Amino acid sequence: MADLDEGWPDKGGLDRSDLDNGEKTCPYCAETIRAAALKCRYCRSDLTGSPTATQARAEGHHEQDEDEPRHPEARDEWTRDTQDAGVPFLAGARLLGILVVLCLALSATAGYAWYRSEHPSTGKDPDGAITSSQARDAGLQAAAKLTQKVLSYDWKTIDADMSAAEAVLAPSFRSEYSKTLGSVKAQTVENQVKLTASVVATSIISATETKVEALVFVNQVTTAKASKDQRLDQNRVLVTLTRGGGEWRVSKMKPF
Amino acid sequence: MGTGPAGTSWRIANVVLGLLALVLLATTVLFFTKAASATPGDSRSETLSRAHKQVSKAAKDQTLAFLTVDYSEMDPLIVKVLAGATGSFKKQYERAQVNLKASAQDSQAKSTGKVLAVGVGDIDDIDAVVFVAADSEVSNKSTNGKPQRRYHRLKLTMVRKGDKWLTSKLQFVG
Repeated sequence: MADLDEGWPDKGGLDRSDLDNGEKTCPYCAETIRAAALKCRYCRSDLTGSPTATQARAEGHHEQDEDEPRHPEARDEWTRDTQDAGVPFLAGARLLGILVVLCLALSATAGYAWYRSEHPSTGKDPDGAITSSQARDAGLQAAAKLTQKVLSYDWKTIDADMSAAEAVLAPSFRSEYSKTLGSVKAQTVENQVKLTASVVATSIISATETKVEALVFVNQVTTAKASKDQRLDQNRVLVTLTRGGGEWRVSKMKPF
Repeated sequence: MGTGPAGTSWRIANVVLGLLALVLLATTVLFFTKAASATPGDSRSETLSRAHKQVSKAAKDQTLAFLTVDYSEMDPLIVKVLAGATGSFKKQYERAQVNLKASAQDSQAKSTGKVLAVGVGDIDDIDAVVFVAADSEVSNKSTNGKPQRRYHRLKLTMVRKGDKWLTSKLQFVG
């Protein structure tokens, strides 16, 4: 009979003598346990090798177990982690996703910040100084030329002169100019008035890429039919130029 | 290790992205502070803007000093004008100061100035031409103490000495 014991495959430490006793030896810890046991009560090892048994253990079916070597939640965590191949909350795909979104957001912000630092607000500089040296130089020239054109006219060619002046005005200023000139046009012709403006000084108060403020000194000579004398006015004029698309135009003209 | 969410290649991707995020953050901060701090514009405009502001202020101060007259207390006013003067303007004013004082006292002149606009013409690192539109209110014996308003167009030629802009020439523009 003993001969038949040899060659039996290892089935959880089962051998004939044990079967007779209803006991077997745990192959993991070598303790003697019940023959029918599916789990060793000493080392808690699974004796069936089947997935169901593992699952049962993972889901915490251990109310039957007498003593717990470890805290249940910790063991489940560990088991779950093993199933998920060891991924804590911030690792792997989640972190990658967060970083991608963060990088995109930062790229957009960096791009915006770069744009702002390269292209400062062209509307206003609060100190009224220079933000564009090119505009400053161009503004000096344009202010002299345009002021002279707008402040000069001859009763003989009044319509043409007015048109020429309007051509160098910004649209926002045209209506004001037309109104002012329109109201004196009749008198101008009747009294044969001629205005000749000469710019004796031009200077820049502020200059941005699209807006220049200039201080212009203008000497205006007025002749009229009634008077043989010429009248000389030494004027100070504040001139604002704006550049819509390409050329500088007068958007404000204020003598003071 | 190997493939899967905890794999090495994913870890490398995470590290690279993390570093990129840091670099972008630093760049963003840099651009925001650069935009916020320095005067806006290219570097030539920044220098120009600074000089523009400084010379405009100096011209304004010198104009006010020049237009202020008080016959009862001329000395400090004269000193003030000379402090902002250099070159030919300084020499002229020094020569004229005695007569200026005497004439003010004779006519019991008082004058206050008001600068309405300042514009800069030609300007470089050490020279500038500044135009000033200023008014003054003058009272003297012939006005019977009543202030009369005058309108001035001034041209100041300025020279930079150290960090100060001084007036080397002062003219009225006719």
